[in-house]
Amino acid sequence: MTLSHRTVLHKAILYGVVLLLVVVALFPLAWAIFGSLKTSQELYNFPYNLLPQAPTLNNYNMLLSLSNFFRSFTNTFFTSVAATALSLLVACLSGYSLTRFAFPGSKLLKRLILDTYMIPSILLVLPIYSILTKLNLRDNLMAYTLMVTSTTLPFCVWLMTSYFAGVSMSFEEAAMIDGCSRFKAFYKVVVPQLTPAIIATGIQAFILVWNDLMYAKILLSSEENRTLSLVISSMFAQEQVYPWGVILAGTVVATVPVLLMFIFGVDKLIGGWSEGGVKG
Amino acid sequence: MRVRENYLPPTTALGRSDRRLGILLVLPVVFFMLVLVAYPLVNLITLSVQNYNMLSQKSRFVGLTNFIRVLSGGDFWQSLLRTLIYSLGSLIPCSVLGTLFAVLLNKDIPGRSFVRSFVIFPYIMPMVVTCAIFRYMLNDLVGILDHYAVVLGLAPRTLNLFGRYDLAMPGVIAVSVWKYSPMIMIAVLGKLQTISGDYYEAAQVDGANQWQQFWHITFPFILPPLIVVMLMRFIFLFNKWDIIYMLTGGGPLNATATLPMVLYSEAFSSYNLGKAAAIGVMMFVILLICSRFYYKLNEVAEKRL
Repeated sequence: MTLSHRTVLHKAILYGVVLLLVVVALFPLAWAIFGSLKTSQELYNFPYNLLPQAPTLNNYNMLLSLSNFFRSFTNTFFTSVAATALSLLVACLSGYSLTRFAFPGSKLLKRLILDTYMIPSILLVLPIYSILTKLNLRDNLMAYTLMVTSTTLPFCVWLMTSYFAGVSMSFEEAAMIDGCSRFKAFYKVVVPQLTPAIIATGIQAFILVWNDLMYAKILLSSEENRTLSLVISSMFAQEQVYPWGVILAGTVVATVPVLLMFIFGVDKLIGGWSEGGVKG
Repeated sequence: MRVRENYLPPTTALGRSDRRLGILLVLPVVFFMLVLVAYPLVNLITLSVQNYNMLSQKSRFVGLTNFIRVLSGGDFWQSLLRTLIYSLGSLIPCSVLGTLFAVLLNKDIPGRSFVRSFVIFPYIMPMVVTCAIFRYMLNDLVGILDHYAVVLGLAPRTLNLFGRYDLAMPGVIAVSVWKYSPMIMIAVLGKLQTISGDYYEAAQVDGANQWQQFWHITFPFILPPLIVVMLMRFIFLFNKWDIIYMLTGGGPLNATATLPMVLYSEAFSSYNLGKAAAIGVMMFVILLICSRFYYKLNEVAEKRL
């Protein structure tokens, strides 16, 4: 009797703590969503209502009426997609090579890739800024996309190499006996087997570029080239009086794509993160 | 024997063409690493021994002057200390909480995989979004956390956390802990799931309580990978820029001016690229030392598995 009481109590405490964890993890986003639907009057009113009393999309209208907001959204989206695609392509080619062929320097290369993974962006962005200034390529979205790839590429290569190592050689050998060239065996037989891994790696790369502030802040300056991170951070530039409603609407819009990707790939992502997590 | 060799496929020729393909396939990554990492790093070092004028775009060799200026002022050492306070101050609570959460979420709870996904969410929330929302919640005029800190008697009046010299750093650390504890949790959870239940059954037969089971079975299992993940996280935290830029901008009065923030403002507010690059080179040296540790620890950890 006493034992079952104790286990019930234990369970209750356990569930309570877990529930608290979930609330702490999700509350900020929920609070931002509710806040974004409140009138500016209500945002300043004590005591705070959890749910907006008179929900309004006014903040979102104001956000969309900001000059170039839609442009910023598409900038962020396309640079993220392009940098992700580029990283994945390069990572697949090198991942295959590094797990199948032993050529002089292949071991060293593997080691260097892990080394570059640890190099923080803050050390690279300063010289990149000075190089791009000299080349007159600052404030250029193409150059930005290429440079931001330096954050995604090393971990994409790292992850894809470990995924390629897990694919048995027997499939491509069979394909080659059937007359495939080695390269054809690679993209017709090996790559399709890794589609889930490629998607998981791609989602992480996308999120990483989507969330980037540093490269954008330092390399992009004109209003039509701004990314969402820059739009939101620039709203804090004015002193003291911040447009909270619009800021919150902006945070919600900037989170939705990441949230969708997360929901879509959460199971695959967790597997990869167990290895030590992505940069950032 | 000699006759049979004639029937073998020309392996050497195939091998050679394969090797060529292998090299061809890594060329893109080598190219990108040279352009995006190696060349900028070399450039960082050359910048650090020059005085670069942003307006005329001319540079002049000045030897180690930038380093002497960086190291002789007290600012660098103070910033280094602040960087250590920030990174270790975030890492230790992250690791303790992350481990605790992992042990909790490894238990049999209804909807466990859902709970896990929810708890991981802070980690993928965009940094700018995270910081904007925390600034909102901790603001002295509209912030719910600031408000309830007063209502519950935790603070005598509105806090304005990020505007206070003594509280800005703890505030930044708190947001980091919120964001990165889940990261440690996932790493530990992955390891916990590989521990065989037999150990716990044997311990229960011997009458070990929950705490003893954790201390003598779970902890020794998760410690090696935990240390490796912690060191990696330490390197990333040490070089964290965006969270500080967004929450405090290094202020107030340099209270949160860690090395990455100092590098940034030296380069892009004071336009002193040479001095900023010298700080960067110093940070790179610290990184090299940490990464040597990382490889050593990784080796030891892998041997113990």
